Amino acid sequence: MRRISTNMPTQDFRNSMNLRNDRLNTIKTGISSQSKISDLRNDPIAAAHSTRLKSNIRHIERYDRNIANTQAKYAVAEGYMSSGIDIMQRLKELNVQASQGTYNKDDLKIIASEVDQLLGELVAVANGRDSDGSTIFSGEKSNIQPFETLMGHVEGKDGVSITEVNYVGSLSKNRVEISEGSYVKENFPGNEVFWAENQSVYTDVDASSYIVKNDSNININGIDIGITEGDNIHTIIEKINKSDVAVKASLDPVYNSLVLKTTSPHQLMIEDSGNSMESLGVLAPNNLEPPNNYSSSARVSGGSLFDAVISFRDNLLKGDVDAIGSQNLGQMELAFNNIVTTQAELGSLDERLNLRSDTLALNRENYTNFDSTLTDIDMTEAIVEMNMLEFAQKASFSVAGKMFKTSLMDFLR
Amino acid sequence: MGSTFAGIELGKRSLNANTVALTTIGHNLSNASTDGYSRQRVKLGTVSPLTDPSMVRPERAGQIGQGVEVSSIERIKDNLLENRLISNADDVGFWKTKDSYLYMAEKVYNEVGDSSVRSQLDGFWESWQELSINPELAASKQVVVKRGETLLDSVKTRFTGLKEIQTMVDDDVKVTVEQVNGLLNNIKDLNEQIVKVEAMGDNPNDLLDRRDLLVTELAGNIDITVDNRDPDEFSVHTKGMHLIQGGVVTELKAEPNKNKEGFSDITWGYNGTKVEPKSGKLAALVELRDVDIREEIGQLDTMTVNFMDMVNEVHRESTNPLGETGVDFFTENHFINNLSGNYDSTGDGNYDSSYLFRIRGGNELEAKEQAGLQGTITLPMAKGSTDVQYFPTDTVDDIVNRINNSGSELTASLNRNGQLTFKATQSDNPENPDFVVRSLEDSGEFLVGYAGLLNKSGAAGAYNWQQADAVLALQGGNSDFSVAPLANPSGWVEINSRIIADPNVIAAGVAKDGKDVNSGDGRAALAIAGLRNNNVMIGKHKSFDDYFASTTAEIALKGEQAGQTVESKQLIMDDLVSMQQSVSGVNMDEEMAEMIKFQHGYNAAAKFVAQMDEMLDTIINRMGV
Repeated sequence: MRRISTNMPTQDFRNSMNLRNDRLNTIKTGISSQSKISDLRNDPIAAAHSTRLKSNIRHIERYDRNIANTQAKYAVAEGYMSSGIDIMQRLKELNVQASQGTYNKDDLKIIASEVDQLLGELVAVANGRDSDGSTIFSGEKSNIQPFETLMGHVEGKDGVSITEVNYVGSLSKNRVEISEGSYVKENFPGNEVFWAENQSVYTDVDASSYIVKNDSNININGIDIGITEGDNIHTIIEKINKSDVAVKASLDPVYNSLVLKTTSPHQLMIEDSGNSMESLGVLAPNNLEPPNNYSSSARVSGGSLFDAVISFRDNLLKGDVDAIGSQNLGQMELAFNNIVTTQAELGSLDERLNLRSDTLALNRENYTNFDSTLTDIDMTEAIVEMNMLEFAQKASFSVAGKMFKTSLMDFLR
Repeated sequence: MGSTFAGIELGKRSLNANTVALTTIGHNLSNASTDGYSRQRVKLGTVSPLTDPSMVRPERAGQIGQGVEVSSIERIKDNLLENRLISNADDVGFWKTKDSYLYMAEKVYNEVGDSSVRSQLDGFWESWQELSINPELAASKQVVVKRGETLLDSVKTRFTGLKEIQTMVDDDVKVTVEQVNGLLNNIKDLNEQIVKVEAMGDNPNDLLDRRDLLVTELAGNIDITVDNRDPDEFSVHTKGMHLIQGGVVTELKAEPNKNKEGFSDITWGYNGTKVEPKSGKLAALVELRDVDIREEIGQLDTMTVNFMDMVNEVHRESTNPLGETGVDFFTENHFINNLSGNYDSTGDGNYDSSYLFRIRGGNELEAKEQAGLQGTITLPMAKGSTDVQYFPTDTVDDIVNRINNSGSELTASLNRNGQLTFKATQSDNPENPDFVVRSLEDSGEFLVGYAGLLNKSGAAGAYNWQQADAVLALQGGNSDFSVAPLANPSGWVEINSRIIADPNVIAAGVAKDGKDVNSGDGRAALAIAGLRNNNVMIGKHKSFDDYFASTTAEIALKGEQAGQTVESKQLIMDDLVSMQQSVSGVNMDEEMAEMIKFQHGYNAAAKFVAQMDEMLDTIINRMGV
């Protein structure tokens, strides 16, 4: 038998009441905050998981926004490309028409004036801007117009018209992260979109005995290729071909000189932090910005879409039907193909973004669900538990009220 | 022949004894709710009967009972139970204190929610993402600045919050030491009174109760053992040292220690040697202040210093629209304003050590490439050093992982360019400075020719912080280092004031050879945003996600442990108190029953005296003499 002192029941009642009040409070805070974890200690493991999940969800939301932003830019770019394609379509028609040989010189001049107008429109398209006012086809130089025009007098035509269109944007493409560690390009440099032919550079310096004297970086179309002291021409060619730039280097079998050719239609821009490209006869010692830094002895060929159109117009003005039918038609076809290919690439990138966006949405839902099971309160469970505790509280209060109902004193006179 | 009035005498003794017993019952009833009170019982005994065996004893039947007397008044108490109570009280005190302060620390986290440092940091990374897609917009730069400010605000709030708790704990140490001294002195006073009372042969029941209560209270503050073996010298020990020996008290003292940010050590008052309590409130306070909260601040500092350094490293290599490179995003307050981290630690006017936080090799490595080299890298530990071996078949990643798993106070990682980076962690040994690379040595060529970090292999080329210009051991060229930060970076971290004044100073892109940066170039912004996902080593944690998940789990687990332990210890304590109550507590009904008993005893004795009186009346007045 255990002896019970008068204070014991009170004390026991108080202890259990405190414990119950604490639990009731935890459950009530949980219910009102909708969270299982009102204090971290409620569930440490779930709290740790939840911090990761919440961060991830936030990042997925960011990637979603990046994708939406990129898709918006793509849409604007695609719009401009489509107008470019429409113009090119008309130019091709005119070119085929003009090469028939059934038109006389005056007729050709009339066609030339239409071509001239279309050229102006093409330049406007290539200099297009998005809603933020940034130019689209300028690489990373989004604040300037990528295509600069030189105006001058053209033989056979009154007034001034466009004689040259130069790309002054950059080659580099800004990248956007669309999910962890995965990137897409955000913009399309104009000298890739509006280009007609593969470009090539033929030098006339015998490179067979050339040895690199200092370590330096050759930058081709924005990609650094490191060459080191003691490299010979074969090593340099090997390094260029192994790098991920769409340029093929080779040695001219006759002159033993360096030849660089792009493998897709785009402009070739070369920079060199040392002087090896200069020694090999590729670059001039003038240190100008590319593409105006080629050595005067190097033969550079392959031009832009604008070059093709300008040449077509000039040939129309000259009435050179032969050139129109052969050279111009070929160039026009290449330019047209290139812009269509780029548009197709844009379309597939957009599709990729759509797919990625779907995956992200799925991930986000999964993460949110998981986070919710970890941290959100199960209302049914919580309410049932609260009711049980409240019931227990009532019962214990009623017992406490009756605790000392009878005492020996009641029976003493 | 007995005395005529012997009967009245006997009756009087009985009346007295019953009165004392009733008084004691009254005392019990009045003190039923007094803390620490033990019920008292009157021990009755018979008065020595007539007559003792001796030569002069009268020849008649004996022995004649002489009635009742109070032999002693005892308190009813289980002393073994009391000792268990005392030894349990320090655990309860320990965990109660830990529980309440850890709860405060938990609340500083603001997890799991949207106002935690973690979610502000997410917002910061997000702003760099935004800048990477819209580098030309001034608005995106403004967002980076504002998000950065919000982040630093919450870092600082967390830091101040933790620091406040630490100071509070320190104040509590001082107050508790004073309380302990007060208790000790009270116990000593009681000791003196008790010895005096006991010398008179009485039981100082109430004094003993009060002493027990004070000792239990003392036990909640510091782990003690009680020694009752010598009844004249009640002693209290902690860890074998006397706190109280009878009437002698050894006081404790809270002594500010200038090597510990002025926080107080607990020392013995008489010789100043340190007291290191194992349990009780004091032990909990010291552990909270010097371990738990200090670690929390350390973790936050580690995060801040790494994150500051990494953002700055990228930002410095990038170019802003004003054409500047080398601009810091966060203002760095270095431990010393010396470009090579040279520091004069002895104060003799000569540089004698180098304080660097991060050293980086110049060569760009590929994580999955096999280095094909063999050797041993020696890294600093909290005490001494550890060796990490590498073999020709290891990839760079393998070696980096091995370094990070070696338990050394250096972490290795490849930065975005693949350059091998070593960063110092907080040091476990308070004698070593935090965030300082102390040593690095490679017997082979991995750190030397391959990573381009050290000049020479072997001991001759080792990096050692205990010399001026230790940076000379590092290779020139593309290698890099940063000077160690001032203590508690989370307290002072700030965004470069030039950036706040003009967000255009933020570099979003990378330009070559001093050329202008393209306005649409967001490569640097993208690289900074990418820091969040990469294995950048935040102290011992691989990535920011790891850091936040494991620090959150850590504080939550500590809280959970404290909360659960305090509950179970309190339950044990409640049980013990209840057991003690069962023995010592007053039961009113029981007292009532006792009261009836003694009331009747008293009445009977009175009746007996009246009877005696009647008998005497018969003899004296009625005999007709």
